[in-house]
Amino acid sequence: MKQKSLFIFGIAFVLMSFIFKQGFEWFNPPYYFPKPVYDFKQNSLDSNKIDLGRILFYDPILSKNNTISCASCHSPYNAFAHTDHDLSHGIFDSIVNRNAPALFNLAWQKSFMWDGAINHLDVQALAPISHSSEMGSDISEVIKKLSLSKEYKHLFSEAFKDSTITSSKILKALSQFQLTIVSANAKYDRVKLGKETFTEQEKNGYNLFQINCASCHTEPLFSNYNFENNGLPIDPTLNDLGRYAITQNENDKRKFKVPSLRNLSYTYPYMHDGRFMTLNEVVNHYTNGIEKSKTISTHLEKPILLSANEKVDLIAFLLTLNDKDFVFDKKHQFKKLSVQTKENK
Amino acid sequence: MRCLFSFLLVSFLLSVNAQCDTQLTITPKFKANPLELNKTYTIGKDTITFTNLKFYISNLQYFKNDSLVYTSVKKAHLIDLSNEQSFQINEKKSFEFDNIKFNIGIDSLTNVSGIFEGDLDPVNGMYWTWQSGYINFKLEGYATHCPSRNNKFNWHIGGYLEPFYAMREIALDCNSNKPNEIVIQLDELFKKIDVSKIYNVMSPNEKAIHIADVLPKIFKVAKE
Repeated sequence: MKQKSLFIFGIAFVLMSFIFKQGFEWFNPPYYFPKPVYDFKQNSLDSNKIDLGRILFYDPILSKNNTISCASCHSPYNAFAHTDHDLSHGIFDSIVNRNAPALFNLAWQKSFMWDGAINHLDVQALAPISHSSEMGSDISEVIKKLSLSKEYKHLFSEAFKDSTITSSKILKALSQFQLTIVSANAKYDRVKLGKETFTEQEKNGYNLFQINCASCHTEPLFSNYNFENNGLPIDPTLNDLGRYAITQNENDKRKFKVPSLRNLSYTYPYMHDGRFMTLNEVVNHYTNGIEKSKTISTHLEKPILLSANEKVDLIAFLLTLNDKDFVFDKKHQFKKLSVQTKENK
Repeated sequence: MRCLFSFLLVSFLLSVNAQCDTQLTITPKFKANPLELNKTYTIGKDTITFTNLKFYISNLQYFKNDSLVYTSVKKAHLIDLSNEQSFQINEKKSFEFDNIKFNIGIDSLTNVSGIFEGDLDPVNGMYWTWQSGYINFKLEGYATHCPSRNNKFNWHIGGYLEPFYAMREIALDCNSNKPNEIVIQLDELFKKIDVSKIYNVMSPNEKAIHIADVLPKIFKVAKE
C-alpha cells in the first residue's frame, strides 16, 4: 500500500515537473522582472493552446469580412504596434481615434488599452473584434465561422480536448499566445545580467533617465502601467480625454496609460494619438512642451531641464531598450492554419 | 431479473430526483399580466412595446429562520424573456425556505476575473466589449413619448466600479401562498423612471445608477 502511494506520488511529481518545465519553456522572464499580474493558474500555458492563439492572432477570420487580423495593427516586426500611422486603421479603411499600442510583457499589465477600458487580458480581444472600425464582427459570428473550419475544429480539440468552439476557448488561446510575447533581451537586459556594459554615453543617459523619467517609466518593464497626464495639449480634432471616458472622474481627465519604453524604435509614432514621429520630438515635449492643467502628473510639476548633449545621451540610453531578438523572434511570427501544425513546428 | 432491478433502481432514483428539486419561477409582468415581447402596453400617456428583456440573478441564497439553507450552485442565472426555460431556476435539492437573497447583476470580483462560460458567456449579449463589464439588466423597446429615433429606448444597466457600481442586493420575504414565484413588476419601473427623459443608457453612469436603484423595488414574491 505504502509502495503504491509512493509510486503514485512519484508519477505525480514527474508529471508536475514536466508541466512546470513546459510552462517554463514558453514563459521564462529574467529574475529581475516582478511577479506577473496575470493568474496563470486560471489558464496554464500549453503549447497547443499557444499555437492555436498564435494562428488566431494572425487570421483575418476574426474580422467581419476576413480582411483584418490582430496583426494588422499589431505587427511582430514593430514589436506588435502599428507604425507609420498616427491613428490606426481597421476594417473598410476606417480610422480609429488612437494609435494601436505595442503588445509585449502583457502578463504584467493591470489593464489594457490607452484608457484602461479593459480589465483582464482574457476579455481584451472582444473589444477589437466587436469595434465597428477595427474588425467589425462579434464573438458569436467568430464562433460560427471557426466552427465551419475543419482545421480549427482539429486545433481546438488538440488544445482543449474538445472540439466545441466557445468564446472562452478562443479568448484563452489568444491570451496564451500574447502572454508568451515577452521582451526581455534588449541591451539593457544584457547589461543587467552582466553580459554587456553600457557605453559612457549610455551610462550618462541612464542616469538622466533615472532622475527624470523612471518614476512613471519604471524599470524593468519601463512603465508603472498607471494613468498619467503627461502634459500633451488636447488635439481639438479628437478631444480625447483618455481615462475620463471610462471613470467619468474629473481627476482622470487627460490621463492615459503610461506605455513601456521598451522597443521604442520599432513602435513609432508616439503618444496615444501618434502625434510625435521621432524620439527627439518626444524628449522636446518633456523639456519644452508640457501644458500644465489640473490633472498634470505630479512627476511633471517640476520642469525637466536637459541640455542638447544630455538629450543625445538620454536617447542613446533609450535605444538600449530595443529588443531586436524579440522583434525578429520566429516563434512569435505568422503561423499558417494547417492541420499538421505539430509537424510544421 | 437484473435488468428489471436496474430499471426499478433507475426509475426510483429519477423519481427521488424529481421530488428533490426546489424550483423558483421568475415572472416578468406588466400590471396584472405576464410580460410578452412585442405586445403593446399602456402606462400613463405612454404606449410601450418591449423587444428585449434580459437580466442576471446571481449569488442566489435561500434562508429558513434566518439561517442559510442553500446557495444556488450556479453563480449567475441569466433570465431572458425570449427564452421561457430561463424563467425556471431548478435547485437539485429539496428544502424549505422563508426568505431568499440574491443580487440583481454581477458582482465586481466576477467583473474583473476574465472570461466565463454558460450564462456568463459574452455571446449572450450581456457583456460590454468596448469597456469590460457585465450588463446587469437590459431592457429595450419603444415608448410613444421617447424622443429618440423611432421612439426606441435602450436601458443597459451595468458598472462594477464606484461610484457607478450598478449591482443591487435584494432580500425577499417568502411568507406567501406562492413562495416559489418571483414577480418583476415592469410597470412600476416606468412609474419611477421617465422614459421620455432617460432613454439611452448604455454605459456605467449616473442614469444607470438611477435605474439600478429602482430595480430592487420591482422584484416581489407572488401573492396568489
